[in-house]
Amino acid sequence: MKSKATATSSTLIVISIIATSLTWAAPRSTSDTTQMRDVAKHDELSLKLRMAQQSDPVKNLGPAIGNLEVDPAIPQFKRSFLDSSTILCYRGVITFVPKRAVLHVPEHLESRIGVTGDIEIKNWPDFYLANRGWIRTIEVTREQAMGDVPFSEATLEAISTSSSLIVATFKNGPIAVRPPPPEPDEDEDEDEDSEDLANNNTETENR
Amino acid sequence: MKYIFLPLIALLGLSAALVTPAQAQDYTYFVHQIQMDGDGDPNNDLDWDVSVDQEGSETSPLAINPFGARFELWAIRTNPLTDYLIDTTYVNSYIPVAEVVITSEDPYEVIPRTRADRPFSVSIVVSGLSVDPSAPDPAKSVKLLRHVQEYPQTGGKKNGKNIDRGLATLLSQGSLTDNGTHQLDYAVTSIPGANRARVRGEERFSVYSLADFQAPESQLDSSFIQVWPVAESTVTGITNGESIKGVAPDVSVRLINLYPDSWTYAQVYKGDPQLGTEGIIVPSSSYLLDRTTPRNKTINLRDWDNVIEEDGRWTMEIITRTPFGADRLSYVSFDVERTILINGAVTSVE
Repeated sequence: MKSKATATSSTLIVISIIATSLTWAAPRSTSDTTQMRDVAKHDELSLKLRMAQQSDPVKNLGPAIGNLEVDPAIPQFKRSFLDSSTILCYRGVITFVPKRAVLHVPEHLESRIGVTGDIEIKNWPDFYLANRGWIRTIEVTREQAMGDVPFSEATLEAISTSSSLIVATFKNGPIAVRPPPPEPDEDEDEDEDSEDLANNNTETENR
Repeated sequence: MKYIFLPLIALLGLSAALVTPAQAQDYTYFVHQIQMDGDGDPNNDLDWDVSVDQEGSETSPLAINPFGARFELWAIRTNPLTDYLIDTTYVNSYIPVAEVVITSEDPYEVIPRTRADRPFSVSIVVSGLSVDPSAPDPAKSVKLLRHVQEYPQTGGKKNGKNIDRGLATLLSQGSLTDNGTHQLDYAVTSIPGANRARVRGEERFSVYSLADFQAPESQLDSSFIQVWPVAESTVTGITNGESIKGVAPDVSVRLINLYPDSWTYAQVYKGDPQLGTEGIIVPSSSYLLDRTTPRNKTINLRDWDNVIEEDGRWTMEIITRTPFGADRLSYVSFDVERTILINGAVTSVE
């Protein structure tokens, strides 16, 4: 279906080109004239630029407000899909899932992470359909993905002992899973309390 | 926590790409929804592969959290493995909406494009700004940024592929404080370059929200226009004022930086150079370019005598026709003197 559509587009383009060529190639009298100009040169364009720079419409909008020291576009420009993805690869076919969407990689499947040799890219649904033999998905809730609700012990056990590669999904799309926030360490609290107590004792002694 | 559902528009069909139909098969498209958690560290944001169809639209089932979400459309090329950020949009509960559209005289739709000597326009539609004078700045105003970036004159990046856009120059910035359409017209590009006719690069216009207590400055919309150099030509094999007494010499026409959508040819007509004259197209001199980037080409003209109909002064011009009209790249005039005068007498001897 896709190649048929592409072929149709190509055909239209070819027809369009031929039609245009026929129009242009039609015989013309040498006395005909048309709107034509000499190609623009550097000097002419330098003058144009100087005039244009004197009235940049962006500056005319009014002074920018907010943080003017930092260009907010730089982090956007530096975004990399490849760097923020984990690549799953099997028999020359790869797909991308967000980093932290892969919850478990058994040792015998570690070689299927990353790119090797010539490749073809598939989107996730197509790749998963062809590789269900070694990939399992776990549908997670929004809260689990945000790390607000931890997985149950049984789920964690099933993930860690699986012989398949486990990918977290939300509505069938791979999703990164944030680790739940660390639980407060009771020992540390006790230590702090002890320290405070010790400080108080010291203060008492000083008095 | 307030949940909202916003429409996720899959622009895959429109953006299918950057690329001609023949190249489309080299790209695979991904849409990611990135939930921002408000701590300013992108490493902690939540990344979800939306897995949309190639074309169409749907509503994102992943509720936008209070810190907003950014949608990114990526095109991934197989060989070499390269990622292209096609479009990005930030959405939140109480955030203005902006749309940036750049137009030029070239009707090409995939990526707006123009030439170093031609004008272009930027249209920015803003909605959702508060008219309450007491509202905080982020509710009343958005920021417009103009970046320019020059492509290298040679090498693999001369057409903008794999350039580091983090090196783009922030040329100017301003504020938009009114809802509605803002039209910005530019007579010519400001992309850096010593020779203004050979400038190649891109200009990007981006609208950003202002930082507030929930989210940092975030890109609401962005669009860029590619600017390609003005074509040049050099004719060798015939010189100005040359006299042709026999067969027309072989002529070589070197064409530099032909515009991606252009038809270039050599024409001749009798007389001195006169701009705007349409002459006879020299056979095998036509070159039709239908690509996404400029190209160089050398055309060799041989056996072109048949277009020189009679003796006298003739002019050969190199013409390129583009969406911007017809441009004369160069010309040369020469004199044709083919008529052979034989001075002699007939006598007889008995």
